[in-house]
Amino acid sequence: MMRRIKNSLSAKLLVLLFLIGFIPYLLILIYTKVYGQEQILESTIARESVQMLQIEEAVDMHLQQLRRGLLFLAQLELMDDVVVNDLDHRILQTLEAYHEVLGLEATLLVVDDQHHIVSSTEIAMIDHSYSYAKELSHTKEFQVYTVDDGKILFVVPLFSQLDNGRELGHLIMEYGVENLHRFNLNSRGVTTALWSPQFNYRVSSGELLPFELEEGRELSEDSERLTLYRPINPLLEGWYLIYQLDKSVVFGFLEQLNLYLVMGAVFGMATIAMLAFYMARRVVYPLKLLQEQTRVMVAEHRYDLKVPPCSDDEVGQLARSFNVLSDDIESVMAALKAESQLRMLRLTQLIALFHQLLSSQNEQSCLQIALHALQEIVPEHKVAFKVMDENGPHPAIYLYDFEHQRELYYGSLSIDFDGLEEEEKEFFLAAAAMISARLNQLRAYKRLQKDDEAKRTFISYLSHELRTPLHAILTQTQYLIGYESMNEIQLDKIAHIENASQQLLSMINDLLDLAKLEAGKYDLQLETVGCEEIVGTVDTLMQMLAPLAEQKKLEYTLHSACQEVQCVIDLRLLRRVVSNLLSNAIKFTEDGTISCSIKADAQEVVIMIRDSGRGIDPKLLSTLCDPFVQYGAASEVEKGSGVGLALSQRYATLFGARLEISSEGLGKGACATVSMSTI
Amino acid sequence: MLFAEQWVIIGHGPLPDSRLDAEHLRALYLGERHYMDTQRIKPLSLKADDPLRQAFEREVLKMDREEIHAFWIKQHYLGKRPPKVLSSVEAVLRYVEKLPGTIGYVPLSAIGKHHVYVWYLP
Repeated sequence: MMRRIKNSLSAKLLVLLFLIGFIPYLLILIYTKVYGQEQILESTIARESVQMLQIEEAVDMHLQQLRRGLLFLAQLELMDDVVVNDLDHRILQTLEAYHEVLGLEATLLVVDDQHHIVSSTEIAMIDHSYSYAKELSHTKEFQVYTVDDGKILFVVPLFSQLDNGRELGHLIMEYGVENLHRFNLNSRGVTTALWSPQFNYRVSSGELLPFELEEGRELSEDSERLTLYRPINPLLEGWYLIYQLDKSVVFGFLEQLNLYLVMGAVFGMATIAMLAFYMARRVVYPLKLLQEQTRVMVAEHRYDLKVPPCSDDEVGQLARSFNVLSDDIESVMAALKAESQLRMLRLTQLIALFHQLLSSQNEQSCLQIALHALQEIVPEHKVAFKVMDENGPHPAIYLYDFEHQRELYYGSLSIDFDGLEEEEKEFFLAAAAMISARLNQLRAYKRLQKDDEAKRTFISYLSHELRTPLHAILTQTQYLIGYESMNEIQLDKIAHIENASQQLLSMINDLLDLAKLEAGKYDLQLETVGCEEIVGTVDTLMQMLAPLAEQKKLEYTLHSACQEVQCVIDLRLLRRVVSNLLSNAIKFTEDGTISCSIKADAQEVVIMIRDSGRGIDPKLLSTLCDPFVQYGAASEVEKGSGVGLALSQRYATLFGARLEISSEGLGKGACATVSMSTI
Repeated sequence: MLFAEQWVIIGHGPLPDSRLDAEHLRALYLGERHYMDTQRIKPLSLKADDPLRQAFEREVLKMDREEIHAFWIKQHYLGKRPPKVLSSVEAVLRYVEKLPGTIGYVPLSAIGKHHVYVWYLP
């Protein structure tokens, strides 16, 4: 999943958009879940405290109004009528008027200093003793008492204005606690109450659930209710204002908000997901198209591909830039292709030129062919061969001086070299180098032909001119040995001369054979020979050379395993090859063994001559069959012309056999193998 | 309606000075004097529409209704107040009976059993 997101811009964008949309939502949800209740509780307490304060102020205002009213009444002159027991009911009329104005469930009354009720809005009470006389005796100024029959007493002392401020009695208002109902609020989820715990008076707007009232606190909380309380106005000592909140109502908004948030989150997630998906697709689709086109372009080398710019935004600009790039690549590729074609053409032309040059037989024709060909290749340039300044810019042709082993300036290709492109210059330089090469080749070939001719002439001359006197020497010595009587010493000397002459003749014959072979003038006599005949031939040769081996006391063996196979060979040449190999083996083996084995199978017949002689350095094996090559001590070199192996190699090749010499190294012997294909 | 009965000025106790003449009485009721000897005098009056009061004002104060009204408006701004008004002669009698220093005008015939002293006869 993560890998897919890592590798896909679309997925990344999708996730990003999703997170941007969803995270704030999630944070709000968490915040409302974790801190919402606390915040709402705090704000509710703050708000309701203000409400309570307003109620307190209303209560206070009410009490002060009552206080002021009663004090006003108490100061009226007519209160002096207490002295005459309200004879004219003036006090009663005033109390009743005030009672009517108040509109409260209250009784106004005046008692004299003997606590007899002089006047009262409750007529029945007049002329009776007042039941709360005890409270009155302590009251020297405005005082409020809560008493136990559901009343609050507002008491004001009365002083005579005519009799020097003598205390006349008291003005009293019996205030029914039910009057306090007016201060309760009727609000959903809120119960307000005025409560006197001492008298257990409870004036509430609804059902007030029990709660713990603690001194010094103003808040009581349980799982269902939150109760705020505080002592009310000092005039109403012992009374509390209670504010009880139903938590389900308080937190109802929060729960509803949470519900809406969760619903909104689900809906929002779906919307955000769809929006993010749509946006991601909208942004990424042109990019994907671009990427796909690029992939196809790279994979199929189609540089003509274009991306339709689907908008004017950054992606559209990218698409346009891509198309410009595509155009550039296409034009560059076309230029490269054209240049490549030109280069290929030039290469082909160069090869063709070289091919034509190879057909030239002399320097003159070589130059003519080259100039003609170059003129055809670049008809717009005039090409000529001139001897010019060697260090000039023109393509120079050099020839190798074999005598002095150095290069000599031959001439230059005359052409408007400065007007050429760099590649064209290189082409003409290459052409000049080719012409140089061919001219050098022709010169070398000519020189080689001359050398070869001289060599053949020399060998032929040498052979014929040397063989005639050599034959005379041999004839004469053989005559001396055969027909003249000589002593032992003379005979021995003559024998040495004859032997040396024979050896010299043999060497001259070898040289002649080699010259014939190289001149291709050797007369090949092919015949079909069976394996048995080959074995017989080899055996005869071995026996012929056996005395040499015995002289050196070598172990000298032949093993053969023949089958009914036949080869087409020149038996005469095979004899020369085998005898040469055997004599070499004996020559280079001082002690040990020389074994010859002949094996035949359906494909070939193999003659293997192995010795335990001084062996050959493996590094020298490749040049072993070159003419006049001998490796070893000077005394041994003297015994041969150095063309034996070269001759054997050429003989074998001539009649279709293969001669291979191998050795594991100096002192480890050597092995010569002649392989002949069967028919 | 004219008040034809004999009226008198009554007091709580015996007359503090040797005599009380009409001028002195007038001064007490108009708030120009407040004492008799060392006794502070608190005059009592009946309601404005009472014939006895009207007779008293006419005879003793020698002022008609408008004059008295204008007088007390003026005195009001000087911080003085008119005599305390009671609603009935009975009330005057009881006040004077109970409160030392109080005086009032009542019909002579109303005194009856009330324990008051006659301070002035017109």
